[in-house]
Amino acid sequence: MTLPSPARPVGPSTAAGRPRAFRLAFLVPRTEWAYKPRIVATTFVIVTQVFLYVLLWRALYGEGSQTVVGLDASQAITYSVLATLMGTGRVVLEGASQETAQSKIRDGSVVFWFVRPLAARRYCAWRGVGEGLYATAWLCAGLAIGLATGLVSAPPTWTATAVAVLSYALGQVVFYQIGLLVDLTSFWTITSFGVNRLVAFAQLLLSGGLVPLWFFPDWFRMVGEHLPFAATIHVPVSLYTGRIAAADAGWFLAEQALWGVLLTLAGRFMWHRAARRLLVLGG
Amino acid sequence: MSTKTSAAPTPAVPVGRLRLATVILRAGLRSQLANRADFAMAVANGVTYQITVVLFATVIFSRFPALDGWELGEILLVSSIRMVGHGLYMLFFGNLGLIPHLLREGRFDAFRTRPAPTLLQVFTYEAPVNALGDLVVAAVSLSVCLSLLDIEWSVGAVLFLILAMVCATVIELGLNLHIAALVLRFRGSESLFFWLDNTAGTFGNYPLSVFPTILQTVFTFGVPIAFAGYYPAAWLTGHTDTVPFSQALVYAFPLVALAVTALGLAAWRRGLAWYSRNG
Repeated sequence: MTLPSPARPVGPSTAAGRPRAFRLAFLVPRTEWAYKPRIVATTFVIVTQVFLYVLLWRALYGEGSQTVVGLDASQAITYSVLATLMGTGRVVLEGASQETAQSKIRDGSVVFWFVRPLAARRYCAWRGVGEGLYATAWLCAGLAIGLATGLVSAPPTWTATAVAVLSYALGQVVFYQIGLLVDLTSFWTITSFGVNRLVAFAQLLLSGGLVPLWFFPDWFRMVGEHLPFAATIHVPVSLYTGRIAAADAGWFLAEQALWGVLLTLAGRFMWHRAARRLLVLGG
Repeated sequence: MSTKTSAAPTPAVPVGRLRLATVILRAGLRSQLANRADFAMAVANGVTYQITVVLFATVIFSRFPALDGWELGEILLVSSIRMVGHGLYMLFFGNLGLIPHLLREGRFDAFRTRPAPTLLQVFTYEAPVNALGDLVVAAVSLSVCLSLLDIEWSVGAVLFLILAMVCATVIELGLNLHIAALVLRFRGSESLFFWLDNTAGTFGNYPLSVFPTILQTVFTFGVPIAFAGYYPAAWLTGHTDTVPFSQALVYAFPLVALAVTALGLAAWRRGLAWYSRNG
């Protein structure tokens, strides 16, 4: 007589021996795909914003080939288009999956973050990777169309391209960490709408997402350039347009990396504290 | 025996809509005051958002001084009319922007079951605290602008200015009703609220004549944000002759406000009907 073999646990976790956390990176694109009107609306918002900014800068620069604060018309337009693609894309995508600590705390389901076999910090990080890649796909599509239609100028040199790409990647890390820190404050405040919007304001103003930082008074730009917000948009875009020479890129990249590390450490610390004071509403 | 008493519930005392609105609003304000820090933040948010608008305009103006013959004070009048209009919109109707949130949390469905107009319940859902911030900045901007301007303020001109601000509010309401209707119909299209706010805040502050014809057409006949600032300001500052299309447009804003809102309400009703069938 043969003994029945013990039932084997089924589920994705057994397939490769361990959970494949990287698949969480597809969470955001798939959620977006599930709501197709969102994609239509995002396309509409991004395309019209880009178009409007191009027309605005052309109108302001006029016909002449003047340079304002070291930016000529084509640099200003390129800066503005890229900043819009990077900033608006990101803002519109924000909360796409509603998987923020804020919304999870409000409905109490945040508890699932802490009972899964995957640490909440890693779960969010993988999701963040997906968010970044998805936003990058939008940027690449916009950039390709912009280059093809002549709205956006190509970077001056290959070196500039390389440093701009590197700087963009560092910027995405900083972007994620800033968002995470804001989101984690809701473990203490429950509703972090206020903090959220204040940081969104700082982000818009100090990242160059609204007006190129170059147009601000010098003292404002000098301060702004050394804050983490500039690392997200201003630095990569300035490198791309050649307004910051590739030869001077070293310091800027180092500063971006430094912000990335500092914010990551702050994030780790916050996660640690947040997990300890988790309060589940209604449960 | 005594079955009569339990069978008939006392009929609800009919309450006027305005009374209902004030009661709900008072309760909303109290619930917001429960968290003082968040309350202060909300007011600050209105301020900071408007500051970005003003900053954008002033930074642009300081770097590109010649904006088609309009001086700083005159351009500030365009944005001041729009900002006062926006502040009033946020105060009375700003909750429209919360509809995506209400839908997600299922509260919108509860509104549909109550014996009060859905739109009224949306408008009174939350006390519009950050409108206070918006209005503060709008008032400051308006007073700065009036001190810069050299206008003879006749009674007619003052009334014209007040009417322009009210119409700016109504135009914003009409446009947002269209978007709210779309949001009811197409889940996930809520970024259009952000789009309208951003577009009006960034491009509604300049004399229309600096833009190419296509934008003049869009902002006049498509998404008529030019009537919520530019056209009335052109009359007040004596720039009527530089207005595109027709000089009569400087007086058209009350009509535009009525038309946009009427169309917006119609769209809202259609959206709501669709939602009731399928939501």
